[in-house]
Amino acid sequence: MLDSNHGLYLEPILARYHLRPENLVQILREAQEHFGYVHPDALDYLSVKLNLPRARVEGVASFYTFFHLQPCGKYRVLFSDNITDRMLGNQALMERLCRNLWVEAGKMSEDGLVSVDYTSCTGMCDQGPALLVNGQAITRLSAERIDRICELIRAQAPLADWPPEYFVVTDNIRRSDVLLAGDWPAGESIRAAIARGAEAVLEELKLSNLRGRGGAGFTTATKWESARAAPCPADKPERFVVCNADEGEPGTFKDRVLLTRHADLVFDGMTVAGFAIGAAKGLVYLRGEYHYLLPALLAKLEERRGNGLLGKAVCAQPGFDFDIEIHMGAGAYVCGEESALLESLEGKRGVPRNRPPFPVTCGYLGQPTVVNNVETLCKAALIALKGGAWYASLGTKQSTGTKLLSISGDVENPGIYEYPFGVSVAQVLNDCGAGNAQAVQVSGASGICLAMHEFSRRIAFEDVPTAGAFMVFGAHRDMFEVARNFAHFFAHESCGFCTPCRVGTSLVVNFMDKIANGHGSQYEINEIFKIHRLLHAASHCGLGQTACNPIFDTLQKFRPAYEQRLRSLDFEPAFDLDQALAVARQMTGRNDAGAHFDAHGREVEVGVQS
Amino acid sequence: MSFELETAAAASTLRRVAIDPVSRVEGHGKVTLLLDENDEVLQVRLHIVEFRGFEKFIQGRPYWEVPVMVQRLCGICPVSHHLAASKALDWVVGAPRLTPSAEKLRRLMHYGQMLQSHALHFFHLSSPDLLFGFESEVGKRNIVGVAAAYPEVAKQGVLLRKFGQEVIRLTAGKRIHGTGAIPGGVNRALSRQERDSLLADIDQIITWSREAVHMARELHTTNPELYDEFGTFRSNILSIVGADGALDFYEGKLRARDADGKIIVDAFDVQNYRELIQEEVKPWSYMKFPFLTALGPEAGWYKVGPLARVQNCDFIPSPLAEAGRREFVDYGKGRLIHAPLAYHWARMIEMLHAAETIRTLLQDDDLSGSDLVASGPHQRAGVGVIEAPRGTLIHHYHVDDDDLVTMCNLIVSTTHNNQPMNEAVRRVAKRYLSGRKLTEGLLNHVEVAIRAFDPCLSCATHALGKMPLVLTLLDAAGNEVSRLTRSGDGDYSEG
Amino acid sequence: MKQATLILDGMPVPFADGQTIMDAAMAADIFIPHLCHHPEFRPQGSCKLCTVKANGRYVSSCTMQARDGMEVENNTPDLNDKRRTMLQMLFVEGNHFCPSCEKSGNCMLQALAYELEMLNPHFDQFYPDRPLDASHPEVLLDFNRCILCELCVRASREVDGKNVFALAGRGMTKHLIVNARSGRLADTDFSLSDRAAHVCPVGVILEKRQGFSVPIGKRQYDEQPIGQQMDRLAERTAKVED
Repeated sequence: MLDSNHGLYLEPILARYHLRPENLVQILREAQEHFGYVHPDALDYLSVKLNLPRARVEGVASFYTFFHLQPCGKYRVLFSDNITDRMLGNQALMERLCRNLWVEAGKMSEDGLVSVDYTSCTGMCDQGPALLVNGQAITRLSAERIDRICELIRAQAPLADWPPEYFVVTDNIRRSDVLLAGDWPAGESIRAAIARGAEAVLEELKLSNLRGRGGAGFTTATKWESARAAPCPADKPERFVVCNADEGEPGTFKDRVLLTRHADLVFDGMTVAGFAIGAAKGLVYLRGEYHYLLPALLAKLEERRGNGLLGKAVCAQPGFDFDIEIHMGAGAYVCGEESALLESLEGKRGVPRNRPPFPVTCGYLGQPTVVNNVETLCKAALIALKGGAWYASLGTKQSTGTKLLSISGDVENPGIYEYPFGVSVAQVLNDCGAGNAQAVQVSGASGICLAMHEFSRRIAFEDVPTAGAFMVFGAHRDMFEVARNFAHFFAHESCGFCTPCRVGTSLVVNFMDKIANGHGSQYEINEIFKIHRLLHAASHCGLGQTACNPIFDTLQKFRPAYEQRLRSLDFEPAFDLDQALAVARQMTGRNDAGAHFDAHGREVEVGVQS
Repeated sequence: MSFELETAAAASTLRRVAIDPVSRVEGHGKVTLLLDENDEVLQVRLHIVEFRGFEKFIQGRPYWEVPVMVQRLCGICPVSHHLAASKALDWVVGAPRLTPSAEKLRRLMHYGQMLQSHALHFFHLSSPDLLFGFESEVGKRNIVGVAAAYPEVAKQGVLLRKFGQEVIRLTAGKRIHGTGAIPGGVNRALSRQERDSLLADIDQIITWSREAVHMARELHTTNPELYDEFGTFRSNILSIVGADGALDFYEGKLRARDADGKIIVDAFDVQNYRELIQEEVKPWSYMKFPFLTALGPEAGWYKVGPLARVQNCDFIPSPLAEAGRREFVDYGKGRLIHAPLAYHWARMIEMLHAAETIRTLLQDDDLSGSDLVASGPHQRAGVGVIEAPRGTLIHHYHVDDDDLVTMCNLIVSTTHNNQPMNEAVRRVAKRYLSGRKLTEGLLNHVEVAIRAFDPCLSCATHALGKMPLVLTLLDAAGNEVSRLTRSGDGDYSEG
Repeated sequence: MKQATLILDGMPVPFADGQTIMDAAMAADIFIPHLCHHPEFRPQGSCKLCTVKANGRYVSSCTMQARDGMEVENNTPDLNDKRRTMLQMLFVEGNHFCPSCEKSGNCMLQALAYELEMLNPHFDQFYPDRPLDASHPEVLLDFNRCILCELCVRASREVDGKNVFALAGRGMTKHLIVNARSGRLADTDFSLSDRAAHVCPVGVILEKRQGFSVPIGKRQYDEQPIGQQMDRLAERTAKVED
């Protein structure tokens, strides 16, 4: 018994996605866009039409934070909660909005008008604090903007009528090198690749020593060659190129700029990869937070089809058919991991796969697949065009070429900086106007935290590798709170597949919160170290393996930030007797000293609890 | 019935003494005394500040889990709860009549429980008071002191208890918190070898039990001024008795007598217990006060436990214990004995009966049978009643169509005896404490009274001096006048 | 041709092509602690209890292919320490109250806790709120004890062809769901005869009304520690084949 009301809007969506189960995430996204949330009837409908168990559809829908299985506000406001947003005051702004609208964070307002919550970094760190309203990014929040947003929501103004300047996302390119300074006409590198021939392209790529820009630094040529050489059954000869635009690492936003400014180069890179490995289809996995980019990207694809850069016989090359689809993510950092990304592309829960086999032999739909970062594909396009030797002449021997850094935090000029590999951290800090930096978190939450004495180190795979994030913390910042923010991030984003990461990240949050609440001791620090070692050893994927890195680093390098919070050096119970009396105080309307209990005989602070 | 001490007029002008904690296994108890300027006791209350969360958190659990879960209510008589719950759930699985093997195995388990609990109660917890005197040297007034002064008594106490525990282990699988009974029957039988191992010792156990009856009787009859009078008050009594009027701890119908011994309720089906008994709530205690509906809260309260049972039944179906019962009844000269300290004598008669019954059961080949579980059409509710060591224990459950418990009501022995214990404490306080300067020995009188009924309430305060206890005496304005402290070593100090 | 072998805690262990480290160890009667692994189903590698060190790297032995000459550490203080911590994580993540759990003695989680000498849960309990599903006439689901091993998910999909179970949510909110809009097992096509009804290593999927019919002391892990029950762990495969 299918509900025809839901069929009315689901049928066109299902038709557009060819009733294919691997498009489930896309179908759910569009279904929600239409109805406001994913209704149980819609789950039933999709389950029947896609011939999937209902529990599987529900399991997928409940995995992604941007999908709602319960009614949520007509306006869904999500505040980006990266540490850089915190430093710019996002918490006060969210409280202000909640107060203005009489709504509690995490809940829908009683009239169903609005729901407000936090979300992980939305990639607007250079122009934060930022939020998403119904998936659309608003940047540069201020008290004035928040007040005006409240008025607009109360007036139920459609987003199209909101001040357009709220939605402006600027590129903030501060330093350009070979990539950003260039003008790259669409299709030029494809034609160059075709002229060279597939094998020669691979040779150039090898010569360039291009390494993946997503962080892991795997040699791109090896990936492409493996995918090209991987055997395929005769009845299923497809190979795929996947562009990983799930830029979820807190503090990273370079792909946002590349997709805004150099989308043709990204698509060129994908097409070149398709040419080199023998793929006919490319897929872009675009993070849900960048939904605002989708119309322009789709238009760009359409334009390329018109120009013969996509479709049958690309660039008039007989037999080279290639087209590109864009899939949207839906709020899951773990999908930046390539095998989780493939699962998500196949319409499943974004859980990293067991490897081997690797995607190059068994990727999307089990076929050989190259998964490359946006920036990597741009660089590959440049190499196809200008040759591997040219590229290898830039940067260092082990880290050739340039790297885009997404710089945010306590700097005068946040934005995108392109440097040849090998640049020192100090140089970067100097260029971006970081006057009194005490620390830099390089490569995001899962990266490395550098203290002042390490600023002479260099950005390169052989020294400080990075996926591009570069968050600067001034001397006045509390590095404990930085680490605590990241701890919450990882617990929120753990997919829950493996025991150590699922439970361990939440245990770490509890320990960090206990320390933050003034009940910490050396015991908690030892426990965090123990969990760090366990997660590093036994986690299923990089998320868990690196989840404790920021705490480990800050504990090593900024220990006083922790120790000043510790109540004793052995053990403190988590149970707070005074806090337990809060309800009684509230009920009796008392807040005098006699209504408080402090086991330590210290003065009890009476007043508003933060 | 006397209630004059429960609420004193103008209580705010009086001095308050608290005995806190008087610990229980599953909760806390304390006694408060209000004294006037002349140290006259004007109000006494036994507060049970236990909170029985079990009734709540058993809701929503599958019924077959209940007998195992609810026995955690108590560490001394878990078997009683285990069996009362199983009996209630026998109705739910349509098997109120068990197979002969199952019934006998459960009965054996239960009589083993009676044996070990009564031995513990008398020898470990009460004999120090009775052998040395209530105001004797506090450092010696415990089972270690007994072992030094009366080594044979202490040894027998320990070994009697050990035997009872062994019976439980073999029938329930573990010494405490076993799983032997399941709704509709039991999950294991006894092998011939297991029965023989118990039979090897049972005659010795019966002999020692007889000596224990003798000792309890001697203590009572050689000092009748104290034993007959100490905390004595008149009340109704309640217990189950067997269909033929026999003393029966496992199965029977409810019988109540008034204070003169006249039967006022008989052969009452426990499934309808809610028509017979109501519970009153008082603001100063978490524990309810049950009473016989027909008589009302003022007159309807009653004693349960050994003193009630031994006098409520028509006879005891084992020769040695029956002889003990006759001596006991004769001592009352045709009137019900109400003295709290007579609980101990009655308790030892019951222990002897338990030992005799265990011998009879062990010789029964049904214990090694294989037909252990009965079943029938499922029902949605059941009441299980059993005579636990301290008295009548009622478990009542509702189960929904999905097999989950939706309602649980437990009336435990301590609850039945709530009003009697309060009454005994008041009598003792008025008789022994009024007008005198308080000492530990005097306050121990209060605990002796409680201990006669209930080892759980008293065991912690008697636990070899491990439990610290502070008594504070406040004047009418709430200022501390004096303080009596019992340290972890059992030493008392004032100041 | 020379028989391929790996070195497990110093002992040569032969294996056939395509076998994992776990397969090879089980065939050689060597116990590697595990919860989500079951020889009958496709390896998953999520519980991580079977983590070993192969050629110096930590890997899941149930998913890692054995290779000739591979040096594998299994029974070492370091690994057992990590396994114990993960067990503690599983204990505090759910509501595991062994004293009144009918699976006590037949529970792999409990048996492993004994095997690895876990003396307490160590971490603060999370006390999740996980209501029971007793709707099915034959089977009770007590989600309090779910360790998310997905054996029921795999059994229902791979053997029963029913897809009764699936996982929903993510991270600490990840939980088992059933294939019905109502969320009730009674509204699925699940049956007691399903393979999925008999694979739960802990006390989630329970045949109703059986509870304590087997006495404590007579249960699987009462007889021998789990580490000495290689036959029975491997036997689980045989059952399905016949």
